[in-house]
This record gives sequence, structure tokens and C-alpha cells, in this order.
Amino acid sequence: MASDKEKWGIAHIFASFNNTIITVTDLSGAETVAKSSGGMVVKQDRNESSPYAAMQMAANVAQAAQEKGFVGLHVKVRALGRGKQRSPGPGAQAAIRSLARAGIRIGRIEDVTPVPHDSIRIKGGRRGRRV
Amino acid sequence: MAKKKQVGKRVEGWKAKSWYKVFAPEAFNKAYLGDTISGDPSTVVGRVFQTTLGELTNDFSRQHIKMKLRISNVAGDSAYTEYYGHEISRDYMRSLTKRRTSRIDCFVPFTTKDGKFIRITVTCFTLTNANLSQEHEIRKLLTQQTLQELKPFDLNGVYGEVLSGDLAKDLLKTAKEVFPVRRVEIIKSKVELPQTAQISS
Repeated sequence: MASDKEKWGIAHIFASFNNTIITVTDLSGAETVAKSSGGMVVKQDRNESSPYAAMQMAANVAQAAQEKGFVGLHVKVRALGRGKQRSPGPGAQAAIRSLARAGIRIGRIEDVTPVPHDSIRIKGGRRGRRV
Repeated sequence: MAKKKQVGKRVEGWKAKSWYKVFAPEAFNKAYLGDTISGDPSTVVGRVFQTTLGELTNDFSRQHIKMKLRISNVAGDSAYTEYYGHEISRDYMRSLTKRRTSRIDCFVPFTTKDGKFIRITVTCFTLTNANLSQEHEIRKLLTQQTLQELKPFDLNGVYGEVLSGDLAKDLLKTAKEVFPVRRVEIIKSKVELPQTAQISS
């Protein structure tokens, strides 16, 4: 595993279709090191989930983490899950790439989307979503 | 901006906190897991670390098993963990499940010799679709044998059996007598804390 001087953490990336939230914690997930979300880097609400916003966020978070002595991060990607979509939003990939570009080492990348064994009824009603 | 303020405040608190080195249980020769930071040693106890078994043992063929280790005591700046559970990674699980075959799950809760309440999930994958009665039979046998084999062990012993794959091998033999079985895996285990164990039992 990592040697004594190198500190590793976990980057929790929650990528929905309306926003991306990045939280960097220590390995136990109990202490937050840095966090960032779409509204902190872009002005328009609809841009919060964009890959560009995710890049900016990841860069900010990476810098903050590096200042606190973290050299590498394991990544836990999460989509909305539960009854909703199970594939991560547009920000996830961009965020991971940007973290790597910022000079942070990437460890395990894991999908932690909550997937139910049965699932509730999907919204939209019996006749589906009518646009 | 608002962001700058936040970062400024954090650093103050951050510097006041100290780092703890976290070590794996003795079964893994107390391998160094990583660090955690806290302002108060009492809050370190109870934190859960997740790694893969592959990393703990340097054996890459066992990368698909995720280990959960819980910090049980702190001495100076080092913290020691004990087993808290394990799980098979989602993608590995997906690769095992197939259409037109049965997946038979059985949940086996029991108390180990040293008084820890533990839940084990054994899953059996068959070659073809099994009847309900066959499923029931397999489930009954697997539960029985799991209990029989694991009861005499304490927590470390249980995990030794589970993680080495010896138990799964024995179970496969038993299940095969009833129905053609492709695979038996122990997909999940969970050590219940005393208070939750009381409520559920």
C-alpha cells in the first residue's frame, strides 16, 4: 500500500444531471478535506452539471487537497441511483480527468451508486412523461 | 467569494488536528492502511476503512473482495482495526449472474465463539434454472453447513475461513449433491455492533 509519508484520501464525486458535487475526505470518509459544487464555479444554474464546471471544481479541490498534503485520491463515483438513473452525469469523467491533470494520483475508481434490489415505481405515471 | 472564506476557516481547524496511522488486523501482519485525521482521539474509534483484499495481501487475484475494517482502539498516534465486513465488488457480481440460471441467496446470522454477532450472505449460482423446491433444499443445506463450519471459530477464524475460500469450496460440494451448481460465493458479511445486534435478535 501507500508508503508512510504519502497521504491518500477519497474523492467522492456525485454527478447528477443537474449538478456535480465533489467532496474530498480522508480514507475513513469521516473528515472532509475539501469540497466543491457546481454553484461555486459557474453562474448559470443550468451549467452546474457541465463538464467544464466539473473541471474547475476538480482543479480547486485538487489544489486544496495538495495543500493539506494529499498526493493521491481514490475515486468513488456516484450517480443519482435509487429509483432514478444509474449512470453518472456528464461531470464525472471530466472531474476525474481534471484531478489527474492537476497532478493527483488516482487510485481505485469505484462506482458507488445506490442500486436497489427491487426499486420503487419510476416517476412519470402510467402513461409516461408527456412533453 | 464565499469559497475563499470557507477555506480560510478550515485551515485553522485543520492544523489543530493530528494524524493517526491506521493498521490492519493481525491476520494481515498489521499492514499499514493509511492515515486519518482527527482533533480528538475518541472520535477515531468507530471509523471504517475500506480496502480491497488484493491490496491487503498483495495478491491481485483477490482484488474483487472489498474489506471493511473498523478502528477499535487507538494507542498514541496509531490506530488498530478489526473486521467489520466484506463484500464482493459489484462488477464481479454482475459477471457471475447470468440469464436462465438461478441465483440462490441465503442469509446466515449467527454469533461467533467470542460473542460477535455476524451476518453472512452465501450465494449459489446454478447451471440451469432450479425449481423452487430445489432452491429451498439448497438454501437449507448451505445455511446448515455454514453454521456448522463457522460456529466453532472466533471472529478472526471466521474471516480466515471465509476469505481463503475454503468454506465456499466445501459448500459447493454440498450443493452439488442436490443440483448442478456452477459457483458458490460468500458475497457479503457484516459484523453487527452490540446495540444493533440486540435489536435484531
